[in-house]
Amino acid sequence: MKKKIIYAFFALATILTSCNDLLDVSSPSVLDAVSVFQTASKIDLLVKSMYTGDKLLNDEHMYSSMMGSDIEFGTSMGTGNRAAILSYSATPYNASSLTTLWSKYYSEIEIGNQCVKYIPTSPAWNGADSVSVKKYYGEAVTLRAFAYYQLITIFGDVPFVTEPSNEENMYLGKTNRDSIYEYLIEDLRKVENFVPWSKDAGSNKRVTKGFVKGLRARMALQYAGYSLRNGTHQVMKGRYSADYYKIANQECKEIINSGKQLLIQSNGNIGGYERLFRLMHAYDPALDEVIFFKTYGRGLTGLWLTAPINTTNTKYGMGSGAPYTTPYFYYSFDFVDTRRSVDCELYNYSSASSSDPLSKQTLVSLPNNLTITKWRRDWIVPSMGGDLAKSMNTGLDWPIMRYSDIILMYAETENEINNGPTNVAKAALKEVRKRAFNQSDWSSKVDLYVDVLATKDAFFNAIVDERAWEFAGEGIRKFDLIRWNLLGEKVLKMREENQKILTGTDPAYSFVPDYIYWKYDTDGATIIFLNKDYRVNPTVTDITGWTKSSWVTSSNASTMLTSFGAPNGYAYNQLRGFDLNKNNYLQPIQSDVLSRSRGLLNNDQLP
Amino acid sequence: MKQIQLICIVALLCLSTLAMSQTNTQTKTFSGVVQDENGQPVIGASVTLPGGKKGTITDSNGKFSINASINDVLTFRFIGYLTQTEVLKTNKSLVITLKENTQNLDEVVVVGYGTMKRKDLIGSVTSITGNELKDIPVTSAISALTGRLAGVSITTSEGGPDAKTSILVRGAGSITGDNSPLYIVDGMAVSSISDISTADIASIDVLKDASSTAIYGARGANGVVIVTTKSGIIGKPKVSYSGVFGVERVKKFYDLMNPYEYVLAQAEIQLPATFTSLYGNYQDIDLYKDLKGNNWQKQLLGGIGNRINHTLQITGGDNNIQYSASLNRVDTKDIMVNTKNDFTTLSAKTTYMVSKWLKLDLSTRFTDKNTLGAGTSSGTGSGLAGPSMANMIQFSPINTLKSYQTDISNDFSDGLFLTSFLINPVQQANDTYRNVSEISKYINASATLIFTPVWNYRFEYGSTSTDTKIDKFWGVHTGNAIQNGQLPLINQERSSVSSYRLANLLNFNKPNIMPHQNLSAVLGQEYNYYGSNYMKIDARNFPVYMGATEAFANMSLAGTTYPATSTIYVPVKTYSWFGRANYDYNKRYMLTATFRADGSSKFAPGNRWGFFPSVGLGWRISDEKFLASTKSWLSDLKLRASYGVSGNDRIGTSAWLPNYSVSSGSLFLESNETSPTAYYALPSFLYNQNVKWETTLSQNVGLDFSILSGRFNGTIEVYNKIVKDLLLNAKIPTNTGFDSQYQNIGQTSNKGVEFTLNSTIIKTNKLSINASFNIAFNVNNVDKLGETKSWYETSQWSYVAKPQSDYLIAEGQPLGQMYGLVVDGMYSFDDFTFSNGIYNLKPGIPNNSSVNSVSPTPGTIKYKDLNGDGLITDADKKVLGYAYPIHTGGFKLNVTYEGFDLSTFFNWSYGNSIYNANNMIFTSNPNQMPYRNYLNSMNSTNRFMTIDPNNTGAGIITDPVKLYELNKNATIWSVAKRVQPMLTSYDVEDGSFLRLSNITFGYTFSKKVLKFFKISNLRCYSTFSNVWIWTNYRGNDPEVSNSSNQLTPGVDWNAYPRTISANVGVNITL
Repeated sequence: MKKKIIYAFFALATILTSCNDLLDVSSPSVLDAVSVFQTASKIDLLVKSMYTGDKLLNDEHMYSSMMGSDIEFGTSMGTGNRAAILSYSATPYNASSLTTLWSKYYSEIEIGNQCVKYIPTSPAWNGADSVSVKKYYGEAVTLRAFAYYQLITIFGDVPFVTEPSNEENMYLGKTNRDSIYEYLIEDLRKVENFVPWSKDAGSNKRVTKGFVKGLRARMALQYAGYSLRNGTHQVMKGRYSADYYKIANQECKEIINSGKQLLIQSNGNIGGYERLFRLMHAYDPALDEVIFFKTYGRGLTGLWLTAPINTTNTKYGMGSGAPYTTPYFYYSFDFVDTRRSVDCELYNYSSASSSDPLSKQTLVSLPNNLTITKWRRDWIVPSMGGDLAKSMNTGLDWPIMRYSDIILMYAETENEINNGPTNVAKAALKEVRKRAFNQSDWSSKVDLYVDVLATKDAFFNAIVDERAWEFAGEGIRKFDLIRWNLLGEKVLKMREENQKILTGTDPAYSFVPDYIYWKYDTDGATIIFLNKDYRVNPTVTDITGWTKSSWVTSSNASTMLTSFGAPNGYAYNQLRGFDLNKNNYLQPIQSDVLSRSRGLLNNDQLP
Repeated sequence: MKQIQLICIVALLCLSTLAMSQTNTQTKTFSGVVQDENGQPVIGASVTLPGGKKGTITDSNGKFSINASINDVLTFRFIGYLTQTEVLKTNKSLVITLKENTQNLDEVVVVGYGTMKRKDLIGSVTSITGNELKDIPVTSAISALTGRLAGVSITTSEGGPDAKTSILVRGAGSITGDNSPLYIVDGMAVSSISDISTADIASIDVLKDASSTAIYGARGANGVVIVTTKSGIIGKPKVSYSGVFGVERVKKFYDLMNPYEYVLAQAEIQLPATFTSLYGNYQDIDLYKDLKGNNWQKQLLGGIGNRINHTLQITGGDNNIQYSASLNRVDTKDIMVNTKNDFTTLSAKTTYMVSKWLKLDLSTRFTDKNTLGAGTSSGTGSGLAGPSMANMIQFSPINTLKSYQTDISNDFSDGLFLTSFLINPVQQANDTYRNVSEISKYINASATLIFTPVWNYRFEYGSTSTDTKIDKFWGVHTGNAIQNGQLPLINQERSSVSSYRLANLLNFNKPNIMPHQNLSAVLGQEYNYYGSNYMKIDARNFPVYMGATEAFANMSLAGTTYPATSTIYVPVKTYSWFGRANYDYNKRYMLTATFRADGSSKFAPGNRWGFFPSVGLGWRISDEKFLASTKSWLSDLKLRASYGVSGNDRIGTSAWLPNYSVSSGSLFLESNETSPTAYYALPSFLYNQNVKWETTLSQNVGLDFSILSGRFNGTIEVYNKIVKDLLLNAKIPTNTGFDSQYQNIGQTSNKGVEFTLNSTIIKTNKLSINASFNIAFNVNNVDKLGETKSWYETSQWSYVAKPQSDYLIAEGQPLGQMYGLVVDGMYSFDDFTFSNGIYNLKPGIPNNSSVNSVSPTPGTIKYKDLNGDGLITDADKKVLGYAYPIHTGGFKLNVTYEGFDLSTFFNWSYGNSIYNANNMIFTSNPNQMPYRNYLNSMNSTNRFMTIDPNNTGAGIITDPVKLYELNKNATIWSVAKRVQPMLTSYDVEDGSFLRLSNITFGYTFSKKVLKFFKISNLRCYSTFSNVWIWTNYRGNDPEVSNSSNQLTPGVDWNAYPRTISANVGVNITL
């Protein structure tokens, strides 16, 4: 009897143990590393994660690290995290955005590393989906390179890893940025044929051939230009600088010659430059010109940065967070440059109220309410009125690279390689300027303007200026100035010039009006200016039909100067941590990152 | 798996065909009476024959009669009394006197897969019976345990209805996320015991040392809490009802600046132009002295909460079948506006003696729980969606000058506040809808085959499932909506968890296996499965006018619908073999040996199996001859020692596998789509193939004593618990692309002493006084930390500008070290030279601008420069406090006189520090944001001022001489000059306390009176909880810890304040 029982018990137990797979588990919601690389569609889903908002050009980056130049200031001026970064006053303790963007870019790199290693081993690599799979591979390589590029421009030398993370490569010190650039630029070369031109693909929202080549050029130029070196704190060019100007030159030339990219031109009613940005506001991909977009969709996502209306309740919706600029930038434009009214307009919106339901345009007040107005709510089509008006987000896409950038890089490299402007260099510069001016102004503003640039320096300086007007507010200026080693000089110049403008008496700026005359158009809401760029004869006191508002009058100049130009004033405070002697171009690695590194990382990039 | 279950059941049925015969003997009728020590008849006591053969119960006069044969042993049982046996000798009438159970030596203790008498116990087990819990007006059994069990420390995260309760048994050992013990309810492992009605609990036993937990092997390392629910009792059906009604209110609010002080502070913070347009001219500030302002704390949490608790219980049975069923319903209206919850449990438990050789146990429990209300941490994100508790403190008490002049145009429209991340907390609470509904089902079944009195076999099956439904709606005035375009949005979440277990147990129990020697053993095998899934719908941008009900009813009206997300999580499986043998010689020398082998699916093949042996020895010294002389007073003295290993596998289900799961987000890669698309995302941790079991070695020595027949009894225990190969979700360099990795790193230890004493001080017919006392000392240490040696941890409370690296984990030091700067008051005028309107620090005075984000001037918070380099940096931080107490304990006093009873309970904690994040944030001005209110400790009497309160018209004073004069008596920094929140010595406080946590006063009606009404028992009582607290802590309550990270305990941030409550209740048994 007893034995029977015991046997029965053990029989039962054996049934259970005999299931060898008893402890194996899996879930249909979770994929392992093998199956994710099995088919093209799964690889696609993985590569897509590299485009997510928190990785590709993540929001923390846009808010905090792309502004702070002679023409763009950050959006908020507290003492917090983002403001500290924007104003060059970040310390290893006060800028958690830097922790965020560090880890986000490395998680982008990790996915890239996995894709680079495993996609070629996939059965789909040579199968029927070979073309798509190679395209995904190309995208991964490119976005990984882009992530490193962003890290280097912010932190200088960084840990460099091209293999998926494992026990062995977990703890890494910094790698010299020259080596990183050299590796990645070569890496990009290999994949340019894996991805299609945007025109052929019909989309510029994923990596295109133009972007691979353009990124090669952009990275080659950043490498060839100046940067602040870790340890020594010298400002130096990349070690094979000359070669990389050539790479950039070659890539730009190939893009131009391909004929796959064009500048958006005027449609007869509005200028080409304005039309480009209006297209973006109509959620049009502007395929001709925009080489690569960071996408936000048309929904209520996306950056507040794209909404420069600083009032809470207008008929077009709320706005916040535009990059600020200064009168210096406004008055640096040629009066007939059509880009000015896009980049920096003199109006803002009043809040809608019971007495003013339309929320009219109003004149901005000097000196510190000028913003970059490249993105504005009233251009959005369809309009975001009604319920959507309270959203700060606009869903507008953000251009990471435009064709005019390629053209200007081409002009710049031609000038650099040939030690002076070649005809193609001049032609390139002219092409960009032609779009910026009405045809009637071409002879003086385009041909004459460019033709007199006889020396390398003169042409170079023209490029420096041109890129400010062309790319204001697009997060490019700061890194341009750094690679030219002009950041300090230009910031000082911005402060000086603003000072001159605001005194109201400096002869160089005698054209700056003391009073601006303006009125509403027939719709009663759209503002029209009489004299943006000239002083009305002082004996005239009133002009019928126009409202007179003070601008830079000598009477309010001193007030403006104190709030603007003084040591605690606006123009200083926005870049308060900037120190010309220190060349503090790079940001501190945050203490959280350092403490995880077992001492392998430090802030030797900080002077 | 279904197959396995089937096979088991079939096997069971086969076994059950092994029938056994019954025998009959000649019987006579015996009769008698059962009475208590006072001579009162005991009604409903059970009288049983040996082997549970047949039985009866006493009638209303305590009388019984039963058929039995001479030399049979009758057993008499009644709850609360010691079980008595009587050998039938003659035919005469019996008088049985049951003694009240005052000592706990004969108490039965549940030890996992079996029970033992406390006096035979070798392991360290501390227990509480349901009787002790019955008067405590809490819904969660766990919170009732606070302070009552030595070595078991219970922390409730906050005072609110959905507060998390965490239990630590003998200190924090594991430093992963989870140190909570294993919860076993009637044999079944469950994730929480908070949904068990206190009325259903027969006992709670906490296993503390490895000798007792090793039988649970893998999961027992943090201790095991075993809840046994009430079973049926032999006797005629007994119906009892208990009802409690209670009210509660908040005991303490933060003392904040009044409107005048608030405006004065704003005058210093805001630019003069902005200030004037909002609040008027400086010289008119006095106007605000007459304003009362809004007390948002009172408006949000000032209500009187109430709770009604009904329990109906039926129990009874005969020798063959015993049953118990209960229904419990609790309705609570909480102190916070729009917050209420209800809780219903229905449970039933039956034991059926099918035949002499087959016993079936079936039990089931059904719970339904609904919680409605925003909760205080409704938005846990940073910024606007942040917690409304902070808004309760910081939100402006007044609405600018509009409080006086309604026609003024500037006021606190949303926009103005949003820039400072402020939202009207009452509006937010009213506009947030959150309903959590949770339905759980528990089923337990077991079949016991009794082959012989020595051998039996038991098959156990148990399953649980919980379905949770969370509906959340945020209206236009909530932070979430504001961040999403000021349009309403909803979240609907569904999750379900299901688990089951199968166990086979073979029991052997042979008293006198050899002369004077007893042996019992259990051999078992168990399989556990745990699976879960989750689904979420996220719809945003509803039209502004839509309310919660409408939005849930018409989800397609959402402007944006995110793809519904769903996940089936990787299940967890464990497969185990275990055995235990208890041997004793004459009950004098005892040995318990336990072994368990566990295989867990959480580890890679090769690392799956863990082996957990333990051994315990016991010596009843009082039985030795050399102590014979003390027998008159020393009833019992037992020394026991144990050593054993247990384990821990509490990590994610797939920590060892690289894995990818679908996620969705703002991806708009095709042209013009408006809804986000899906992609594969990596987890936040890097996989680790080598991760393996964490093991806990525990040594325990205990001495149990009982003096004067149990009048005084107690226990002293000393233990050393070492946790090796700690499973740690270790922070790894983020250049890996991951935040962390599960690793086996280092070692911690907890050493401690526990002392428990129970005493019956006076015991007469009329008066009895009982007291009990427990105290536990624990010392925690991080012995090893692998290569890293030490690292900093950032606490996980949510705030935009919370400090980084505010905890230090270091080898050779305890866990929970709060790490920060030492406050040195504020900068004085002597620290500076003044020229051209600028203050320059004198040489040698440390500059703290890198940690405070502003250049110091007089009135700026000042930190001590510990390393003397002239700059305040991370290098000047030091350990400021320890989160874990030196000792904790409780003290209970019960007095009964005639029918009256009075009981009081105190508990305390000594030597721990609290990270007062409230104090930190509400005395500083993160990011120099205007409009926020402050704690009253920052008022104009105390703080450094830049405006003269007696001459406000003069505006902001910049002249250093005047400023100096104004601030001669200032004791705290300026409102504008503590800018970057850093953990400082000012924010770390002594958290020691002594709480009078409960007073109960009751009256039990005399049985004689009740008999007339056919009621067998009636008791009325009232109880007050959280009556008084003695503490130096400045916050609302020192019993708080709402950091979600185990490595950063003791944070007080935005806690829902604890309430004081008064309750009246009645217990009736028919």
